[in-house]
Amino acid sequence: MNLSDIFTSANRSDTEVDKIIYSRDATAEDGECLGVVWPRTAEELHKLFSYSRRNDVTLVPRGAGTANQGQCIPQKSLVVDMSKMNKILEIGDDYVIVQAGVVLDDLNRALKDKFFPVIPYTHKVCTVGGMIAANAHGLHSYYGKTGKYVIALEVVDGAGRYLKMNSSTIKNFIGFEGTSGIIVGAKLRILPKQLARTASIFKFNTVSALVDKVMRLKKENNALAIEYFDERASVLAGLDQGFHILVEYNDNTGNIKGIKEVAEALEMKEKIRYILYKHRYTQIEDPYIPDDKLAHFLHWLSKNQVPCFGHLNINVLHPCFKEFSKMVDEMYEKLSFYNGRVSGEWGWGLKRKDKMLSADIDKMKLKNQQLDPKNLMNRGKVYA
Amino acid sequence: MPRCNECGLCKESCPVFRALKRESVSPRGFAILQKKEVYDKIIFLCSLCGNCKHACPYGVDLDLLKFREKVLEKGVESSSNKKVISNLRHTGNPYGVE
Repeated sequence: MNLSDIFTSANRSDTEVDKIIYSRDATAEDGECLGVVWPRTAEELHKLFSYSRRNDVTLVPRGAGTANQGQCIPQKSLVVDMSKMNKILEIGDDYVIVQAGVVLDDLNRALKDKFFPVIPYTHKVCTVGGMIAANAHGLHSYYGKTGKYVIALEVVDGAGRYLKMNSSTIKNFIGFEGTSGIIVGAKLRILPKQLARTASIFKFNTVSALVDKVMRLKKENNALAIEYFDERASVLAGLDQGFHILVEYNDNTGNIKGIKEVAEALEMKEKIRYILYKHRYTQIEDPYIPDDKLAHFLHWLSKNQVPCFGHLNINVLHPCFKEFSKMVDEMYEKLSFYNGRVSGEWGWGLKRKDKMLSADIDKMKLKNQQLDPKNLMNRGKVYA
Repeated sequence: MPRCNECGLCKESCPVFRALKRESVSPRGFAILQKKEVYDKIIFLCSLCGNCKHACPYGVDLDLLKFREKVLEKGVESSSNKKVISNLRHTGNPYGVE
């Protein structure tokens, strides 16, 4: 069986141009792409796995290609672009059934008075399949991660089995970065659109005062997001000198009210990463820091003049570094000292797989021995 | 002018990508070809609408018209493109109507 027996000429390619472009993702580094296919049905995917097994061709599933740790960079692999499987199949009162390639913003537009609440900063382009594979966080960390809203999954696992799964087994595909199989479709929980939103901006002269306030806010449980801006990020975002938090509430608590005013304030949290990038802070990290070490870590970053923003209600920070900065390794050391994790949000992929804890690697390996016995899925990533 | 960092956030603003769902006809795809100096006729699929410039959160202007000129300078042309230019030269209109 050849690829031409499975896919029409419009849905497969091995041209040089496609191979060059699909060898990269948002990481902007080269891999080696053998070709690209655009499946339209689960049956095509099932056949693709037979082809893959017989010819020992490894597969890299790809949504929007916005992962920034090399999750979609092929290592002598065939890229499976899921973008053409982008239908919304059914909208219920509190659920939606979609194909994996649906773009999040397209989905939320179609849901009208309801919404899928996990909205990452890549919402304009990211696909539901990619979000599930990465177990993505959203800009409103209050809602938790994507996995929390997955009711059922339709997948083809690494052994080529087409599976329809309920909540007890779906966890083997959520956050696995495409190493266990390809997500074909999903049934997702949706929520009524929340209209009453307000915001407040708080200024602090010290990080310890700021962290005290954050801990109080966490207990109140009405903050959709608590966004941090250090001294440098504050000034670049147009705030005064000092440390700031921007709090988005799901009720009338905040002192910034009115749809337009709130939207203007919140724009800051989406724009800050772009502003810092323009100031040549091109390497952005995503460490997780436990509550008890948060103040220490923020102080360390500030002392070392590392600009930082982040999501304090989930303790994920985004310290920003200039290219080739030696401070990154120092930060990793500090993280280990503070019992933090290198990745709180963006996963491991290709770039940071050596930073993964051995216990997590063993757990994933064990699961994937059953789901992907020949290691055909996204080989070379995460742990392989 | 900042260089494209390949974040891909422009993709869905591109009418050609939205229709074809193929990364190689997205603004990011063209940016990669520019960086790697690959001159291919696929650039003629770009509608030159300029949406990608407005969608880019980093303010990058890929200037795909200039890239298309460069591709032409290298002698790479699509057959339709050749025909339109020939029609314009001989009849003054792109359709070749005498």
